[in-house]
Amino acid sequence: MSPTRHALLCLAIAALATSATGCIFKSSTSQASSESSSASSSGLSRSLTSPSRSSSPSSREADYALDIRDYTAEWVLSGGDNDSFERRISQIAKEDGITDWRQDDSTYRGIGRGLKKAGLKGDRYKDVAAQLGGSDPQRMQWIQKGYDAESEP
Amino acid sequence: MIRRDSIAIALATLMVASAPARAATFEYLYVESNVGGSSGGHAAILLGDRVFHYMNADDGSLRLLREPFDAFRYTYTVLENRTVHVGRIDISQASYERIRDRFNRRHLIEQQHFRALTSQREDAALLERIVAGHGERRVTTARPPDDPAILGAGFFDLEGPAPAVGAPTLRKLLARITSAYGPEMLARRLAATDRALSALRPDPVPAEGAKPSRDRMPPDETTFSERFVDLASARAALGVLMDARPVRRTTTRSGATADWELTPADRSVLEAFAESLEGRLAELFHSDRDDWGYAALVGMARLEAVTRSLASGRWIFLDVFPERTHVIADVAHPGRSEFFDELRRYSRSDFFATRAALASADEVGEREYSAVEVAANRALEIRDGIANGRDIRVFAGHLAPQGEASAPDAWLPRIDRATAEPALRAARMRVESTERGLRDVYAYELIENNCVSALFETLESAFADAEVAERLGGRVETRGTLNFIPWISFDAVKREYRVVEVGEIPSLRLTRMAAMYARENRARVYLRESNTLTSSIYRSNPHDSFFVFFTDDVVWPRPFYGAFNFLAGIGQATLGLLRMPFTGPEQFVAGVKGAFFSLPELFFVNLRKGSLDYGPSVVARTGHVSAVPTGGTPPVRNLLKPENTTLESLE
Repeated sequence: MSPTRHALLCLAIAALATSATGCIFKSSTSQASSESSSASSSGLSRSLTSPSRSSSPSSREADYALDIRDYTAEWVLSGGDNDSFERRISQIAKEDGITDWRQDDSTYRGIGRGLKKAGLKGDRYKDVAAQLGGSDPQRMQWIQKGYDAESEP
Repeated sequence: MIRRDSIAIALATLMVASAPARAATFEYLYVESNVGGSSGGHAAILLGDRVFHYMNADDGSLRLLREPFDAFRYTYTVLENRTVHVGRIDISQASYERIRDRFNRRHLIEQQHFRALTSQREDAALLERIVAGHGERRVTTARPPDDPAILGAGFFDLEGPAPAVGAPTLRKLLARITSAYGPEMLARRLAATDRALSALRPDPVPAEGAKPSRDRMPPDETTFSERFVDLASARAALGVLMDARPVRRTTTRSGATADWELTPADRSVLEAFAESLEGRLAELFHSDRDDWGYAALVGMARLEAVTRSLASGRWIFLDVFPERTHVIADVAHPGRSEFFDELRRYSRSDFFATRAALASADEVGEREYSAVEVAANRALEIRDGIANGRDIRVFAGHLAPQGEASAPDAWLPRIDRATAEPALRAARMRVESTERGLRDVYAYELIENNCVSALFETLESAFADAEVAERLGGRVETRGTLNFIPWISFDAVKREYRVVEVGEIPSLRLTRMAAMYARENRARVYLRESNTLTSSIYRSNPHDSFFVFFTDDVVWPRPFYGAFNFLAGIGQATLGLLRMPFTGPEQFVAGVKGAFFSLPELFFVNLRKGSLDYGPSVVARTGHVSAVPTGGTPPVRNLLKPENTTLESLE
């Protein structure tokens, strides 16, 4: 490495180390006095920079369905119980602006995709789908659509 | 006529815009440095229209963020005035899906880890209340930190006397439920809920479990506070319905202008939504799900807001904001009027757009109504903040109505002190243990776990070790190398991965200057825009250190400008020192920082670019960028197509 390049690198590293705040959250806002933001909402600061707009419903729904899919697959593979499954789904839904997730087709499509991603097939798939869909025909249909839409793991 | 240098171009934005059509590629984004945020730059991965990147959070952890590319671009190229370099990497469809899954999964697991920590903190806070012996009765709006919130309950007055007549909307709902499920159902449910609340006990805290991992979900567990919140929410919902308690007026909002009048189409949609919501609410009160209370509370509050809208002929919405939120301060500052005008215009147009979408929807469910509710809240918040010169509340992404309230003490579980105190100690120890475990996994480290090294670790761990080179074209090693520094990592990506295109999204200042050069005398533009005193693009920002000359667009004069900036910083610091007793330390600190960050410029290195407190987001959204192919790598394909490019003025 040339001495010049070496010096430049050292300088850059020194500046990086001195600032010691690499890649910090940046927002154009200040926080409400004597209050702190929730640590559980990791996306907070980023979206503050564009406070006038809602994110597009389709991309939001796609993110939501992916999270539901991934959580469902994890839940199946780890053998969790129904109670905790519904609670986590409810939390994910709440963060997506949905309070009544059982009425939302994206939830059940995401669940269907998660069942496929977890490798469930045949009777095992049907059992778990019925368990999660509560044997409601409409929800079962949504689950099946999600299952069919997901590619083989 | 379109000038060649203004169209030669566009690359990065158009590359990005075209990304979904070419799914088997992803982009590595290197964001140039700026002071304060990241002196070595920043890095991110773009998959489709979602950016994944690691950020250092306030608690010292490095967190994976997933956000729309628009928001990312606005933050970095406009607010932070930083150029983003883009390298497009060619991969197979299967590899693309593996990478996307990897980032999504890590994001989800991380969220679950920190949610679990929040629940454990709420366990401790709840036990603290119980141990405190149910001291003073609490009001519903002042929740102590970590006290588990009863979401939705804040829309109603839970503790005052029941209204003599009650809200007609809820009386109608009550009659419907009574007719469907019998007159005793609600009373039985209320009694059962009270018994369950009283008998609720914390579970024994498990022995320290497996250490957390970025790749393993935390164990599923329903905590004491979660069970309490479920029961308290149900208790609140039953109480509200049975007393037909109206929504508190202070928790709804509307506008007085014609914008907020209901059109016949709006009215028809709201009538259909109210009918379906009422039916769904009736089912919820008979539901066997544990978390039905929150959905019922928000549903009842929305039903009343919709009913009031129909009665008044104007849109009325719940105030969806959480009680703890970020704000845009200094709204009355005269230099920000352009930004606020834009905010107002966009938020208003967003409200109209979501209304139009609602009116044309085949079926109106919660998702469709909620889109209008959120857009309206943003529009009203911005409008009212500007009109009254008060702080504007903002929140991330989408949000369900919060309406937080603290549970009345009377609902707390009846646990004697001898049981509660050891449970509280155990709960606190558990919080500490979880915090330690999460620090081990997520703590930011300058080299081993920074925004670059974590990004490559996640990216390459999508594949088995032996596969990485084949899938990506090579491997970027961050251990024992300088590749953990963002600007060096971009070179490594171009060298090691299968990069097929590279380009830039120039910063706001460079973008605007390019447009000015195209129209005006170049020398005049340069003289005016080269410094912070006369620049028409940059506005003095209190968050920036003191400097005079911009050096991001020059190379040879950089040391001279740097020397001037250094001396100016020293001068400012000296002045600040003399004035410190009267004006505080700000000027001194800005001068010292200004001098310090001028030092790299003496050696031709530019870190500082200035930043904007607020910026015109339209620039980033319409994407007037210069296409700057960078050398050494395969030629850049110019993806600019005249028919899909807007070449409007940047002024």
